[in-house]
Amino acid sequence: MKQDELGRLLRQMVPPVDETGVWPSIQDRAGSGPRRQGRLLFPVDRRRLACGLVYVAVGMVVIVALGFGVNALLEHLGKNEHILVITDSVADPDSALTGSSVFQPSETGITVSIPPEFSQFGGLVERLVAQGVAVAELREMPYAQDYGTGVEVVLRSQASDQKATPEDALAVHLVFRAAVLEKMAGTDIEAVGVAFLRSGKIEFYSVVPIDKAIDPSWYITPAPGLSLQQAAKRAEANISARLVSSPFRLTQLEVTQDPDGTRVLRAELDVAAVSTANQAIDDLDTIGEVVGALNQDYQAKIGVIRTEINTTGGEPVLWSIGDLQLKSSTWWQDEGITEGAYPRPAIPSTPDQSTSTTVVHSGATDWPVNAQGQTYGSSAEATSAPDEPDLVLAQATNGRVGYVLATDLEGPMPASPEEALAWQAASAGKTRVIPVYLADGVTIIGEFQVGPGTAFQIPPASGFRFVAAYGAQGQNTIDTGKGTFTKDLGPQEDPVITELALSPEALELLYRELVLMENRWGIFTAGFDPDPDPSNTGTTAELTPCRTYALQWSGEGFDAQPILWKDSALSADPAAVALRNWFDTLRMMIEATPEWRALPPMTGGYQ
Amino acid sequence: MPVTPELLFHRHYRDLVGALAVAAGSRELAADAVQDAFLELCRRWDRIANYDKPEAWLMRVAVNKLRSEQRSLRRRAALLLRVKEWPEESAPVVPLAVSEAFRRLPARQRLACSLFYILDLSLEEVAETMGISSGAVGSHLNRARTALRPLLKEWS
Repeated sequence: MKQDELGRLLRQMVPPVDETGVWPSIQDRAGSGPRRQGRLLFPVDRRRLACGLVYVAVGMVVIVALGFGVNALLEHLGKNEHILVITDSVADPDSALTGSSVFQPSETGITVSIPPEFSQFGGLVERLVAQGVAVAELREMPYAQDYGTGVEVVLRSQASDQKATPEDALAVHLVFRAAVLEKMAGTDIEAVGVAFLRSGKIEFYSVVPIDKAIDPSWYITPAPGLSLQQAAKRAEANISARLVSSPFRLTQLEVTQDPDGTRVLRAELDVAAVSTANQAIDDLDTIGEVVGALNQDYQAKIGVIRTEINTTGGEPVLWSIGDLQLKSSTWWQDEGITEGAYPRPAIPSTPDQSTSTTVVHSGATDWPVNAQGQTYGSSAEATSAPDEPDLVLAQATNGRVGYVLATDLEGPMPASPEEALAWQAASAGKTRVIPVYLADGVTIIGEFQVGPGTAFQIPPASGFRFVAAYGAQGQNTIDTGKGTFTKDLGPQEDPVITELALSPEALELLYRELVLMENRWGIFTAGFDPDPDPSNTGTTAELTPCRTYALQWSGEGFDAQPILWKDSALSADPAAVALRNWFDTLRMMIEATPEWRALPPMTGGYQ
Repeated sequence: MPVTPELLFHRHYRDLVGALAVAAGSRELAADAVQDAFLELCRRWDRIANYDKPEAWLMRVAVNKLRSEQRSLRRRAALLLRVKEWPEESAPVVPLAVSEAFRRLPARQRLACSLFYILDLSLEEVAETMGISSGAVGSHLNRARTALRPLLKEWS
């Protein structure tokens, strides 16, 4: 046994392990039958030829593609790379995404057998299956000697012939993206191969080097300036208004969050016919423009734009994924699209199969109801726009927090496109003022401004001050009003106090985060009582010793309800995570100051 | 005595769960991963029985299961917080600052340390289990020691 200090330390950290009943349980499960399915061993030839053709095609597309909307946005960013387009005139809308629409998340019932030699790629399969991608199996990646460590993902396509479907095209991107996320999570993977299982045969498609990573700024603070629902509402309103005289019609839009934290805008549009779409293809630029504006002006942090455009008869016209995080774009187009960025010979489109899209909402939220019968709560908790409460949590211009009527927020509902345009023109650049109520929906406590750049703005940080305590027993305390910091030196020592001031920029950031927390969850007015098990897994943690947080703050005209929180349950409730992150940020800011560094170190720990 | 899955279970289950619990910061995650590995072992025993070191296969699969489990949706939130959920009476006696510092190390460094020190594997065995080179294991261990050295001196 290694005897150095680290070895002794680690052995003391080993928890007790009870094996009672474990072995019989394993035997029971093992006796329920093997899960392995027969492996498909079709010999695949012409791989090198196919690979070469794919790269030639990709290269040509990179040269000619100017894109529609998403690509315009990528170009605007100046970072457009890795564009892949697949075009085909025969489509089977029920292929690679296992019988569900692209909105259908997870719950696909897909089971994939992972041979033990590929067990390190289990996470990759898990990510794909969670998005409804029909993974058939994993196989040894071709050309591994050229590309390095990797695996080939065989996707199940239900195309009746050997041609790519729209779902196939998007699935290729999802494989690439999942592999990037796996690599970022620590998996040793340098490339990923893609193949399709079509009509009983496996066809090699491509090997894609995993040479990209997502900029961490997509995941870190500041948090998005809009909730998912707010981002969806704004995108929907803006895109609809801008397409009002276009043959394209927005039929569905939602903003969701992927398991890795990426926000995905999914839009479905329809158009009368492929030929009509062909004539007005540039109208689609509006999607990328609107998302770009939301990201730039409101920090909406939408990282992926996924668009499905079908004819009103259900024929796929143009499906795409614009990945702003990976600066890449993938799409499928009908060959009848020849205009704009798609200079191809026009071939009459022949698909005659139809599809319908099922929109899945994850269920209504149980909002509390006031005496007027109105539901009230934070729109951030709504799972979809129709699920939003009648009274939406908001902060009034006087700093008080209450609720605004959702109907007031939306403004008048236009009866026709012409009316919508007229209303939009009349209200352009103007601000509407709507009342802020208590939860009773009657008592007015202030005003809320709706208009360009005002609706979700954070009030100025002037007057912001706070007292915050954190640590094993909440004994590190900063008081920005007094400009002091008290450091806990451990149970055997007295704490020390020093003068310490955070920079205005640091205070601004901390203030902004607090206001966002209040706007989302109302934790400084409605109270803070995080659910220890919000995902209902039946498992909650109990940490001893645990961190204790205390916070009291005030801003311009606003006094927050003080919070004293013993974080022993390690709640994963979003509000709890946000507050914990806020304290982590504060702690980092404090520990970066010369005043803190000059303090003596802690001389013991809590057990 | 012939090696059987049950014998391997009684020899290695506790140690393996303990070591992976330290690496993952969660005993529950570790136990799930190790149990899944034993399940696979039982199902493939006809083949694995012929291996020179079935326990090496077991460890590698458990480590891979742990990585996979850590990435799963259900566990994500808890993992981000690096949960430690063992109860108070059996809480580690290591000062919080030291255990906190260990938990802040990158996952691979923690795993390499756990396998090397707690399971007492050789560099080569750790390398085989993690699917990396011995040199990379040495590098992970050195970085972990360097990061923890100031605190370790204080603790000792």
